[in-house]
Amino acid sequence: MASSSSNLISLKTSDGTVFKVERALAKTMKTVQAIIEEADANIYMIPIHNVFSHHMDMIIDYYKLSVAGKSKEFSVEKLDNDELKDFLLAVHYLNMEDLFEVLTQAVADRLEKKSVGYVRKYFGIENDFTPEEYAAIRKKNDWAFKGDDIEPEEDEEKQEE
Amino acid sequence: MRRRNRINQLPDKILHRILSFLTTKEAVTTSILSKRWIHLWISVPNLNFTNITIDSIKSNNKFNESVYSVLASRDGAGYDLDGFHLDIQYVNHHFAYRRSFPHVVKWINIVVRRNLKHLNLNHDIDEPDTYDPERDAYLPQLPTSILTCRTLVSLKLSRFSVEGLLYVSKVEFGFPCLKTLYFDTIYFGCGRNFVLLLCGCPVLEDLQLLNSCQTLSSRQDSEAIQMFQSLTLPNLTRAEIMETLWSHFPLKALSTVKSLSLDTLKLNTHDQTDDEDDDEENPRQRTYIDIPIFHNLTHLKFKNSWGLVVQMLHHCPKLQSLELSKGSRHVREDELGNSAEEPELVPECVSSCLKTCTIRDIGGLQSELILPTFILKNARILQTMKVWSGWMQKKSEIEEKLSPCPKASATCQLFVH
Repeated sequence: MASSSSNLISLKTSDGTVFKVERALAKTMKTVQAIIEEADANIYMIPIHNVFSHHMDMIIDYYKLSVAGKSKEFSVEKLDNDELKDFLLAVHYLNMEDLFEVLTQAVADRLEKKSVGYVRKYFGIENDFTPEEYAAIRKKNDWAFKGDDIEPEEDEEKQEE
Repeated sequence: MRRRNRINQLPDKILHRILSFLTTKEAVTTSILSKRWIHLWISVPNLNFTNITIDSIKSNNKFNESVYSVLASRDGAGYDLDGFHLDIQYVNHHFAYRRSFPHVVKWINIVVRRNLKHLNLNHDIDEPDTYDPERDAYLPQLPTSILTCRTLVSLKLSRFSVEGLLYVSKVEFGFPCLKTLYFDTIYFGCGRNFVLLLCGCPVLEDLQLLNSCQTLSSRQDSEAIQMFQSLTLPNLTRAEIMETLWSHFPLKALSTVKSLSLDTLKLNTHDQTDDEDDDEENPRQRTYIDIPIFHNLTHLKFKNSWGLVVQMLHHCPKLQSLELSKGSRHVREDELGNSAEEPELVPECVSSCLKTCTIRDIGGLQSELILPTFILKNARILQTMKVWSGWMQKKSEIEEKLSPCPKASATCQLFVH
């Protein structure tokens, strides 16, 4: 078992910054927790791949807010779409349940009521349908596409991707 | 370019989570994104048909088609369903109960067989309620299949009537896993059945009863009354019981809550049919309730019966936040049940725990200012006292009377609205 004499755990992000975090915060990261529990000897420093220092800053912000009972005040509004996706992947890698839920909701909020073209671009999805296949699926779920809250598709012109 | 590839590696599980925050209609539209996405939406474990308006035959048919289509796709895959949420606005009763509900019932019968955990059925009708002699009721019948869904963890229903269950075995009724129960305008033809239901939810944590009316007869339902009175809900942390009229409601079943909203004037321990004469002579007796000690209660919202407030406060040793209101109903002065004097004994919570207090609907009567004055004088750690003047009452008059009042707490701020 790793020594529990220190209350701080050192985490090294992929851009080389070392963060000393409280054991309680490290516990919310199931990936890190698993590493700690599996180690026989003292773990000096735990590397966390795919997590950058700006991610850790936000993670620490969230942690501080949730300890104070103010987790609802945490906002990712200032992140652009790519930054949000990156953050989501980092939190997913660290396996932090609560923050993950917050971020997936944030992504869903940004996708709500957007056109198909927008969503494709957001996720970097290639349209691998033939025009016939596309038409067939579209027809099958036709009811979902009607209605004034679905924006017209932008991508039907750009299908040569 | 590298970043884009990383995003494509988002596992299905994350995508499901994201899709589960969208309505089902939006989730289905992802089926045309790419081949990978054709069936992704199907395994999202929640179905959410909300913000639906049905105001024509066309919209009704379209909606029905969509739900059947979704259910068929999922049924084909044999997936379990975690949650089913319907929220529909109907333009009139005809569309609701003749054209739509027969299908709604079918859907419910399907989803409850899929180990459903969360069920939320809400509907509203633009027309005012009318009595339908053909159905002999105002409200639609609750599909009984819901009562057999033993996997439910949360159940939120509005506008149903539960009738025709003349005798139900105690063993079959109830939800062993249910943590959240919200009933809004649910009518039980036989009060006993509601008691059986509630007694069958041992792990309940959050209870909300709005706009319901139930009576149990001392003569006919004595066994049910006994069961009701001995009900315990050891995990209950939140209860909201408003606009609800109940005889024999066991207040002590709520004693573990941290947060309580109560419309107390309408709860009483007397069988109304037996004691009708007494009510005329002793209006105060009607509001007698056996109050338990609420050991964990920190937030209390009380409506209608200020006469009980001080008594209640003596039973909430840890209360931090208090909100009082009279509601829109006109309350007779003697129903306020308090004398013209200040209470003698200061409740422990007032002197040592109370941090915020909000009192609404204060009118011009001197007796109505006794309580806020009493609290201000005795609440040593009170930080905020908000007072709302009632209809037709000038804010300045109340401010004049309350501002000079001595305050036990140096940091207390008084706001009059």
